[in-house]
Amino acid sequence: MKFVKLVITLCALFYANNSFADVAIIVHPSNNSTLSNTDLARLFLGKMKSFPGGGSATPINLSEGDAAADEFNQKVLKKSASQLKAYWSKLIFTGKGTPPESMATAQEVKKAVASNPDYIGYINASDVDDSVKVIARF
Amino acid sequence: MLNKIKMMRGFTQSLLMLALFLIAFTGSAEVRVNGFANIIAGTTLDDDDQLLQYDGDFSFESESLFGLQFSTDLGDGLSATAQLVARARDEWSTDFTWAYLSYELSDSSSLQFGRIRIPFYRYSEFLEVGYAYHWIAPPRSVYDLPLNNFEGISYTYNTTFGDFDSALQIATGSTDETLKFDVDGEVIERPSDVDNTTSFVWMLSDFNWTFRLGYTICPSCTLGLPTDAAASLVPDANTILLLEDDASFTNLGVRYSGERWFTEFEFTQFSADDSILPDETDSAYITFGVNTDNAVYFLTYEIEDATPKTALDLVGIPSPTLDAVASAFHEDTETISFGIRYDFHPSAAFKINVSRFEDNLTQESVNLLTTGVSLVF
Repeated sequence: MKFVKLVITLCALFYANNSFADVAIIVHPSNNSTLSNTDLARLFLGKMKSFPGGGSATPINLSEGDAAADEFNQKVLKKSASQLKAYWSKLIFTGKGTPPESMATAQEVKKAVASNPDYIGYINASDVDDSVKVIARF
Repeated sequence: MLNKIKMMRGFTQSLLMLALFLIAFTGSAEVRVNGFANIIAGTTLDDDDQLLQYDGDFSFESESLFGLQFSTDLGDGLSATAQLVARARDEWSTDFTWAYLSYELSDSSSLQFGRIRIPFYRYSEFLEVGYAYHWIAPPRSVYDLPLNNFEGISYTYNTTFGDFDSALQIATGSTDETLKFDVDGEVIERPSDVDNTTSFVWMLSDFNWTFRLGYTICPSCTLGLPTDAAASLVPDANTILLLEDDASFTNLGVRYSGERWFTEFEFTQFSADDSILPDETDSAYITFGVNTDNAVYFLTYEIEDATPKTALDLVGIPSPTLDAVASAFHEDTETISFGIRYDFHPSAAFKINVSRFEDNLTQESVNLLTTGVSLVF
């Protein structure tokens, strides 16, 4: 029985931990775009420069090492931090692109997104408030 | 004509540098500085062997380099970029690998004007940015053309087909850069004069697949070769020299990359008419790698193959001397390598590689160990 309890507790912890680490993709409240996972990845890899419904799109990253950034890179871009860096170094040193601007905190990302309909960012789901609209969760 | 082109080149470079420095000093636009470095040491595993300018003593000379890129956005889609690379093998003297103005015509098309990389291979444009790939350097039996850059113009058109991104590039330019050949461990320099060389590249990629087709044509190609002295052996020097002759280069590449593993293949063919060079020199590699959380373990197999011309082909009569000279371009080699890339730092990777090179003509083999660090900043 003790073992079963332990397993249940561990599962619950894992689940709680997992949902705590959810990443929310946020846009300006007036932005009605729907984006597939592929669209999101394309936007943040610099392969797409506007929202599917039109309107230019400016992605914003969280700084390297932030837990939500790691989560986003793994789940949406399917790349580790160093694979992502290798990807961008190909583009930087051939003049084909530069990585999205990085901001240090979820507060800064939220503030930027709330102030400009072109922006799209991601933050830890627990940091979301009414100033922005969540269009996807991972 | 030649002088005009040379003046243009000098002019382009001065213009770019002037633009960059003016902007830097007036502070009217931000200059972004990015850099990369490879610090690589290597040694052959037998004291008497030589390969790729490595010998039996550990040396940093062959592949270590340091690059700095300055770029600035001038607004309205116009930007200027200069990339300088200093290489240990050139006693750290610097060289412009890129120096161009770029203009975004639209979201899907752009123009680059200035000194650019000739897009021969899949990895040509970031050949020296070791951090961008798993190897210490792209396979040397394949990546062995003596030319890397030209001065000219490049147009790229990007579009999508379903989930695939398509990039079509047309680049045309000229160069007279000094060619460097590695002949038995010695570097031999020769002049070149390459006009109106044009490359066509089509790349199609989605999240897993990349397909690349490249073709470069040089209709009036003058490339100095290590064997040029043999021209005095024949009545018409032009039968030996690559002097205003046709040359072309074809590249085919496929990459699959999944979350846990990847594989990549490239085939190349260099063709040249009316010279001592073989009609065709073929080379290819296949590499296979496994990704773990912060390391890549990989194997690479390379081949190079070329049948030399004979005196009969060249002058219509037998000549053992001429056959011997032409045999310098006889290739039948295989290389197998095992390597590890370990990402020990967010901006730096440790790399180690062991290669076994076999020359099927001489039945000789050389084992080479290379190791070092690649970083970006």
